[in-house]
Amino acid sequence: MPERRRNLSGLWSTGLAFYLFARGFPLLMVGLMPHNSKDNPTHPTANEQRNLERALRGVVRKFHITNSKELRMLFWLPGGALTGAAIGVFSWGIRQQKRQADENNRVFDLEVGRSVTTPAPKQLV
Amino acid sequence: MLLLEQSEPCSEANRPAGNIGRTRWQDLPVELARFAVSARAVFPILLVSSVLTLEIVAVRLWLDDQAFSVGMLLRLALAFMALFLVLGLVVILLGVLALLPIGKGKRAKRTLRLDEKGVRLSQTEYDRVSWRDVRRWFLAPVPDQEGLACLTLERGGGTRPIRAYWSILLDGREKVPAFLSEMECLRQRGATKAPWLSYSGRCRSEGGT
Repeated sequence: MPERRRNLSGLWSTGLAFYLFARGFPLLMVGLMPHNSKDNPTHPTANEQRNLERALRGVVRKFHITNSKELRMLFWLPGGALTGAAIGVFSWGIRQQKRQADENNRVFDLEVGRSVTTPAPKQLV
Repeated sequence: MLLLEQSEPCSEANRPAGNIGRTRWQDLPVELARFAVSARAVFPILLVSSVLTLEIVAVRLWLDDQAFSVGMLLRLALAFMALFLVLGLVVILLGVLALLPIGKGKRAKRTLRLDEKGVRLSQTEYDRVSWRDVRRWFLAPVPDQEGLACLTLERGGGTRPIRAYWSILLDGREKVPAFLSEMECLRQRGATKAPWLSYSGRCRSEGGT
């Protein structure tokens, strides 16, 4: 049987989509979900708390954030953009894979057509 | 309805047609090369997962006020390489298992059952394939094995671009004519229109559909 090439072209875009989704979706959820200030699931240490606050304070100052709505927007806007990009890249990758599979099938059918001893029906080769 | 069993002895069943008669040691490079090709498919996801792990470890180190040092670089490198190391260990383990004579001679034979509704296969993910998904059959001689033929099913009907393959080794004198006769009967009854192609090239046995 002729060698069949594998459809690997869409895998890199799937990987990139996975990365964007893993980074974007949690941000989107933080921005959209209701937040209860009593919830504190991560229990950061004093050191971590201080570093987090320092970083967040810098961001708040830089973007002139004055209320909680704008702070939420800081999360859901990039989160939504990253998630949207992930969906776009994923669907582009699927299309690429389909195109590659069609091309591989065409090459395989041509190779088969050269080697078969019984003629294949026209619609197959 | 027709039931066909793989013609090889149990110890040789399920091995790629080109590997029949060779020792397991001789098979190992071929099997590792196959695995490497398969591993290419998971490499992007593996790389992305490693980058995500690296980022998480880097943030943890930053939150813990870790000073930049050789130890920190080693931790980051280990975080990045962890998944690759696990995959490497799995490959070594599979290589060792492939060399052990566990289960040798106890493998079940492949079977192929043809009936009005479709094809029933053994040792594959899709054990039931309806006739509309059977695209065509290939029949090829097995090199250095007189009287054996490799029958390959190509699955993937309609406009679906994804095709899958499944092979079985059959006795060329008894089972291949029985298969062809049954296919002709099914074709006359209108159950299938899938053609079979007699292939002159080298047979490459396929694992599953």
